[in-house]
Amino acid sequence: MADPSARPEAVDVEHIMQQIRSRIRERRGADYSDAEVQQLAGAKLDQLLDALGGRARLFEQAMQARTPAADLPSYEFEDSTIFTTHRGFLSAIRRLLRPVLKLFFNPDPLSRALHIQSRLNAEYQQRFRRREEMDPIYAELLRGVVVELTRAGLEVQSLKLRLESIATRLEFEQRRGQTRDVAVTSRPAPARPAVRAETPGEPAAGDGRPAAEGSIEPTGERRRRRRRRRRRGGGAGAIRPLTGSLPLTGSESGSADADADIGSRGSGDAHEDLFDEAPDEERGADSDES
Amino acid sequence: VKLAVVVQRYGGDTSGGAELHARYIAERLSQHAAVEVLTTCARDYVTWQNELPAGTEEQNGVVIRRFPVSQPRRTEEFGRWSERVFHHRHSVADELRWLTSEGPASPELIRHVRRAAAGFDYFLFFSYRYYHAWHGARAVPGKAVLIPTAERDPALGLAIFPPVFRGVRAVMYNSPEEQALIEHVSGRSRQQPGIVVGVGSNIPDRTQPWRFRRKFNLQRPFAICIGRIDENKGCRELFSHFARYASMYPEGMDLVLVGSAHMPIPPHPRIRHLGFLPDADKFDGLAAADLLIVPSRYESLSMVTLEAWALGKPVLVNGSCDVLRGQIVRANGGLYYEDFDEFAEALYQLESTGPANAVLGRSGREYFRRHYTWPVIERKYLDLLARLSKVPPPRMEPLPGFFARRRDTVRPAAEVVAEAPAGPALGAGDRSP
Repeated sequence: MADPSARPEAVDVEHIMQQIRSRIRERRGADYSDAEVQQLAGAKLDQLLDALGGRARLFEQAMQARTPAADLPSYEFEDSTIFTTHRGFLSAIRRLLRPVLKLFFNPDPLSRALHIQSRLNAEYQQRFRRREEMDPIYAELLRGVVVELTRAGLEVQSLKLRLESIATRLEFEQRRGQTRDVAVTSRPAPARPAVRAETPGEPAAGDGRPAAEGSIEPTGERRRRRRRRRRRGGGAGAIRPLTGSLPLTGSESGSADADADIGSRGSGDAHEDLFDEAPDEERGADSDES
Repeated sequence: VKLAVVVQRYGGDTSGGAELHARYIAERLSQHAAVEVLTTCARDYVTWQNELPAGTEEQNGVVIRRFPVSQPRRTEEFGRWSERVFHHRHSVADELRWLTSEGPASPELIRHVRRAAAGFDYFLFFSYRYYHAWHGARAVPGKAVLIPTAERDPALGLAIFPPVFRGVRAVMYNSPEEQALIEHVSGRSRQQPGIVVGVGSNIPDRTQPWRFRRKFNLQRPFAICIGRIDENKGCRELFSHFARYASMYPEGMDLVLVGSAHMPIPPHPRIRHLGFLPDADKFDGLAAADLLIVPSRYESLSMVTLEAWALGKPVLVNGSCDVLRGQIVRANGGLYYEDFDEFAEALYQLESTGPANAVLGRSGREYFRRHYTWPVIERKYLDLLARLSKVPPPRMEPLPGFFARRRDTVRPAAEVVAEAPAGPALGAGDRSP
């Protein structure tokens, strides 16, 4: 039973969370959930393992936590080991006959070799056990590294896209700046007609008006007209005088398209004055005036 | 009406959500009915050692009857049984052994419940997962009202609990999410008596935030986190998130921790740990804070969230906890996060936009006022108890036979819970304007 008297300050947490998530998406460039990243990383890992062929199963085995293999029976092997017996009298006989045995062959190197082998067995068993314990950890680490690498790759991709977009905008802004500079410098300087007006009786070029008239008009009426024209809305109308004076190259016409694009993205605030439509009343007043 | 509140531990100095919940309910209902508390002599929820004397005493107008625990918990044994019943195919007998090893095993308490059944109209059993609630509810099913305080943990998937959920007279849930979860795992019908009630809190009439700031020398704005500082409460994740947030916003707010530490707190210039504080300080701290953070993934209600709302503070919660997320969305009283990016954005949003922050706080307060003030809670309890007298009691299903009980036919509990639908139950409760 929701309260019918909802206040104007009512909030919706889900709406705020959507805004938060969209901000995060915007920052990331692309929204990949953890599960998606894991999936991408899994595909990458499969690709790597496929390249290993039959050895891929070793990785899977390493991933599985295995129960360690049972210890092999180890034994100490000393000089006397081959002569030992639990029967006392037999042991005594062997001891007595030992010099006789040595007449046929020398058992000492055999004992030494077996003694060394026994120690080697124990050491390698220990190393093998350690390795066995480390295998799942290495495999897990490897998987983690692939996941992180995938994440970093996605981030790099998203940053690249952002960089490209920023570079395009920067290029556009630079061209626009240049265009405006050229427009300003190619405009007829207002002082010049006044200088010409200093020669009395010389007619102004083209319009057939006396130069004296022309010398007075630009300072007052013409400037007002220019202002009015600028105010009279319509991007095209406002731009026309500039394009008329400056022939557009291919790249510049492209920049005009980019301009529209930027305007639609809401980042062309700095140029709003150029594209602003004048209010209707003002336009009406202007046309009446003209 | 004569009521018995049966709970695992009880006492003024006992910390713990369910125990405090039981105490509040016992003390509040004692204004409307004769209430007696039946509990154990244990104080520590890990060992269940008998620390308090057995017998009768009175606290805040409520008679408390304590019974000894027959054996303290053996942690290793409990761990072994938990591993078996949560993750392997097992038998009902295994689950019963798990229940006994979990404790607090007090057969004397259960015998008393059975003996004194005639003297009470209803028994309110708190915390479904403990020995006293399971055996007690089966001892007096016709008078048993269960307050499960259940979270999404594997214990809920054990096969011994659904018959109890279905067999008690009524279930008082803490949240719509808890209700949905219990109904899913137990098959309890919506037609059976049950209601989402929760619990109120003893909010002071007046708080002194400036006193708290002066006492603990806190000059900067801060977010507060109140409760046990424990890995299980999501604190490790909170510390990691906050450290990253602090490096992103060097001028941002501090984090103040209130509660006993059960894990190392990383040394950080913007994290302050004040330790366990008395209630007055806790409420002053809440009033002084800009917001409350609840990082826990497992909560059946979170009383501290309600307390923050009562004081008009927004709350930032862990969105992985269905209950907290549901509460936040229903109340419109804060924000939630599921990863670091969301944590950082949400905290920044709450920190940077004061008016929005205030609106969320007010919305939370309104939600608290409508659902969690004591008159509302008491009315819900009394109405339900009155309704029960008109509804015939359900039948408590008996345990399987001797051999059936010992067959390994029960699925791992963790699997059962994992299959339960997740997410906030938003259709189930009303939302704040």
